[in-house]
Amino acid sequence: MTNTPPTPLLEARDLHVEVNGKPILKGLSLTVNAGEVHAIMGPNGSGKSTLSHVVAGKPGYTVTGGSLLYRGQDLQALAPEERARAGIFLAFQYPLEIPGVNNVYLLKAALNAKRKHLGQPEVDAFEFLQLVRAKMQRMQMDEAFLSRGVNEGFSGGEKKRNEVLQMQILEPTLALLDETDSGLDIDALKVVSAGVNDLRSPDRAIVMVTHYQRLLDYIFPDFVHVLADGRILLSGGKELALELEARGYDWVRAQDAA
Amino acid sequence: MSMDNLRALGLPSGRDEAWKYAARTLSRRDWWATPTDALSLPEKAAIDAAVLPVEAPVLVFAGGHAVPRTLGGFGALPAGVSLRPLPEDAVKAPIGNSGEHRVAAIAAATTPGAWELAVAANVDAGTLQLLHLPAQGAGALVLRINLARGARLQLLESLADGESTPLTSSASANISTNSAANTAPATLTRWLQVHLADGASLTHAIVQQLPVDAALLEQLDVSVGRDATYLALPVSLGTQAAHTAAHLSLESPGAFGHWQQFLRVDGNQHTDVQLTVTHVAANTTSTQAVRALAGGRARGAFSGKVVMPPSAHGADSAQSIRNLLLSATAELDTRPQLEIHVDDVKASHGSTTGSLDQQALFYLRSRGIGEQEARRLLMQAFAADVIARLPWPSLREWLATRVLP
Repeated sequence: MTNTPPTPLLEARDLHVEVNGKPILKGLSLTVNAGEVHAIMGPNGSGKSTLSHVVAGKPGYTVTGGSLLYRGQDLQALAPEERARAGIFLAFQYPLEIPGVNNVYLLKAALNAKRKHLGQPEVDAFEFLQLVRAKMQRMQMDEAFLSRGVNEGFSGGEKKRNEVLQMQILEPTLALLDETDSGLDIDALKVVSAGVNDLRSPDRAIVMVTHYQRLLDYIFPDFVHVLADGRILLSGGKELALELEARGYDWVRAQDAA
Repeated sequence: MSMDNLRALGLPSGRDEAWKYAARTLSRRDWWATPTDALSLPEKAAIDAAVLPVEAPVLVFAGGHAVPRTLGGFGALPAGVSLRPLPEDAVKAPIGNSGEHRVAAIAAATTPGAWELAVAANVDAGTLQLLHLPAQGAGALVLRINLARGARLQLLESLADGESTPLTSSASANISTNSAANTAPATLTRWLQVHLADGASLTHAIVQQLPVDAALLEQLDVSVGRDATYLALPVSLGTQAAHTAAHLSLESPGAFGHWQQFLRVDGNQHTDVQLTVTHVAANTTSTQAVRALAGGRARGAFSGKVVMPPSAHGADSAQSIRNLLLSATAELDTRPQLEIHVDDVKASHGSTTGSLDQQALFYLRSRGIGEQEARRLLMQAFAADVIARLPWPSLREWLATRVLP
C-alpha cells in the first residue's frame, strides 16, 4: 500500500492569466502544501502581485489557461468572498482606506461570515472584543483604531499592521502576503513579521510575495521561488534568497535562457 | 393672484432658471384641483407607518389639515409649544412671473388653511415629530415655524403615504372620511416659512418617503437671526418627481445656516433641489453638503447658490457635494454657484461624481463580506457623514437597515 500525498492547499499548473487583455502569467506552476512557508521573489512587473490577486479572486484577472486549485477545488468557480470564507486571505500591498465603514465592524462581519460558512454560531460580542484587544496588543496597535473607519488616516505601517491583525483574527488556511514589507521601518517590520510568524502552523500555508530579501530575515521560508516573465524560473531553499540578493535577478534569467 | 390666473400660469418651464432641472412630469400633475374643505382622515395604519422610530410627541397633518388628537392625530404639545391656525390673510405668497416662489403661490392658493407652530422664548422643546400625509391623494400644507429668542426645537418631519380608507367612527359635520377607491398617485405641495429669532436653534429633519408614483412640490423660506442656528437634514427617498426650492437667509451677525442632505433616486425617479443661501449680514456661516445616490434611469439635480452681498463681511461658506452613480443610465447634475460681492469672506466648494469604488468592493469581499452586503456598506459609508448629523440614533439605525438597498 502506498501513501497518497495529501492534497496541496494551493496548486497552480501551467497557469495563464490576463489582466485587461494583457497576458501577465504565462505558464506558472506552483504547489503549496499545508505547513509550508513560500517566498515568491522577482523583479518588478514579473507578475508577483497578479499571482496573489488571482488567487484571491480580484475581478478583471482572467485565467486563460492551465488550472488553479485550492484544496483540489477549482478556484475560478468561487467568488472572492467564498474564497475568503474557505480560508484564503490576501494581505494587500496597498490596503484600502474605507472611511465610513467601521474597522471593528469589518473585523466582526468578516469573522462571522467565516463562522457561518463553517456552520458555527456568531461570535459572542464580549469574547470578540477580548480577542481583538489581545491581538491588537500583539500588533502594538492603539485601540483607538477600532472605532475609526477601515484604514482611515492610517500611516503605511499602521495599514500593514491592520492587515496582519485581520489575518490573526480570521486565521486563514492560506495566507497570501503581497509586499507586506514595503513601506515598513525596521521596528514595524519586526512587529509585522512576529504577527505573521504567530500564524505558522502545520495546518496552514503562508505565501509571501516580496521584492526584497529583507523580509526573509524575519520570516524564514521553506521554499523560495523566482518569478520572472510570468513563470517560476527557479526554486530553492532559503539560501536562494541570499544568492538573489548578491547576484540580482538577471542572473536567474540568464541561467534560464541557457 | 387668483386661482384661475395661477392655474393658467401653470408650472414654470425649463427656461425658468429655478426649474431648469425639474422633472417635466411635474407639469402633467393636477396641482390645482386639490383639497376640499373637509378633513379626510388617513387610516391609522397609514399614520403608524409614517411615524418614524423616534420617541417624541407627534403632530399629524392630512392634506393640509391638522388632525386633532381626538381624531387620531396624537400627542399633546410640550409646554411652550403652540400650534394655531393662521387667518387667511396672514399668508401671502410672493407671486411674480419668476418661478422661484411658484410653489409658495400654489400652496397658498390651494391649502385648506395655514398653520403656525411656535416655540416660546428660551424654551427647549426637545424633539417633535410632524407627519405630513396626503389625503385623498392630495395635500397642500402651509406652515409657519416661529422660534422665539433662545428657543430650541428638533423637528422631525415624515412625509409618507397617507393612503386612506373609510373610517367608521362618527365625526363632526365637516369631517369626511376617505374613499378606498381613491388610488390616484399622490401630489403634495408644501410651503414652510421658518423664522428663528436671536439665539434660537432649529434642527429640521425631513424624511421624505412618499410612494414612487407620488409628486412633491416644496418650498422652504428660512430666516435666521443673530447667533441663531438652522440645520436642515433632508433625507429624500420617495416620489416619482419632486422639486424643492429652499431659500436660507442669514439675516443677522452670527447666524448659522446648514443644509445637509441625503438623496437617493432609483428607477425613473427625478428629484431636483434648488438651494439659495444668502449671507445678508456680516460674520454669518453656512455649510451645504449633499450626498446623492442614483440608480436605474433616475435623475437628480442639486443647485447650490451662495450669495454674499457687500454687507457680508467675514462670511464663511463651505459646500461639499458628492454624487454616486449606481448605473450607467442614472444622472446626477450638480451646479454650485457663488455670487460674491465682498472681499473678506471665505467660500469653498467641491463636488465629485463617481461610481462605487471597485477596489474597496474587492477589499471587503476579500474579507468574506458578500457582494450585496459590501455594496450596502459602501453606500452607507458614502452617506455616513450626512446621516451622522441626524441627532437620533434610532433613526440613523432605521435608515441604515431600511433605506439603503
